[in-house]
Amino acid sequence: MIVPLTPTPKPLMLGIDNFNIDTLMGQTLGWLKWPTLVGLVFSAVAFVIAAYYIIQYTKGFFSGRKIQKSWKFILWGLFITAIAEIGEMLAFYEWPLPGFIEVNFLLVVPHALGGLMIGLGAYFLYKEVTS
Amino acid sequence: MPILEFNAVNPLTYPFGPTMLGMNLYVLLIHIPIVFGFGAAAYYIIKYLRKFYAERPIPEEWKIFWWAMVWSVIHELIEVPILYQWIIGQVLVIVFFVVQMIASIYLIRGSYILAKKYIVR
Repeated sequence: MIVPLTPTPKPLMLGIDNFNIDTLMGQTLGWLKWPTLVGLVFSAVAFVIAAYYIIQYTKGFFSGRKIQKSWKFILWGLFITAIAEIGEMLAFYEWPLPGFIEVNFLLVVPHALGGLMIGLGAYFLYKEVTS
Repeated sequence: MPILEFNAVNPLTYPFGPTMLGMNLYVLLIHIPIVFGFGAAAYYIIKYLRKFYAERPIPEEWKIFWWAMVWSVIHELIEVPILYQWIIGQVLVIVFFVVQMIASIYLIRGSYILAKKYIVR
């Protein structure tokens, strides 16, 4: 059975009080509680680590030269997606009473922005070798 | 949580209810750059590699980085039925966990080998 958003008289700005690792999207996790937490945390950490190594890569590869637009986009995309993954974890665990700030400014907007920037970065990368 | 359950949820009336079409549309439309952003990354990276390396073999680090993008697309795609609760259940949570782990390992491994090959010596 689906668990819809709980209606509130006014938008809940922060939903951190409703953060509960026993449920995901309002569904009781049971034995899947810890694997789910590990997966969500690891996902966010992976984007941070990837951003760190891409910084190292671009610093060395371009050593002294101007870093290309493509890599700047990819790097920022990875970093912003890390924020989105944290927001995703918060919103999934806070459901059905997630906060407006977590959902919009940590989940939805950074996810779209991060995906867009990585996509654009890869496009510029391709354009740099074709033009 | 059930083993696996499928629900017919209308994205135009969910998650904010049938009276808030604008907000529902906002959530629905924002998934376009999310999914297509990573999809475009996987598409253009392989095009870049084919162009840049031409007849030469594509290095391992780039292959892994490309696979990281592919798995990230799958990761983002799975989040859509989770959010809309089209699919609910332990099977979906397990698949989500596995995809997250694979995507994360590929991402770390790909970027690490890229950095290692060119920098960390």
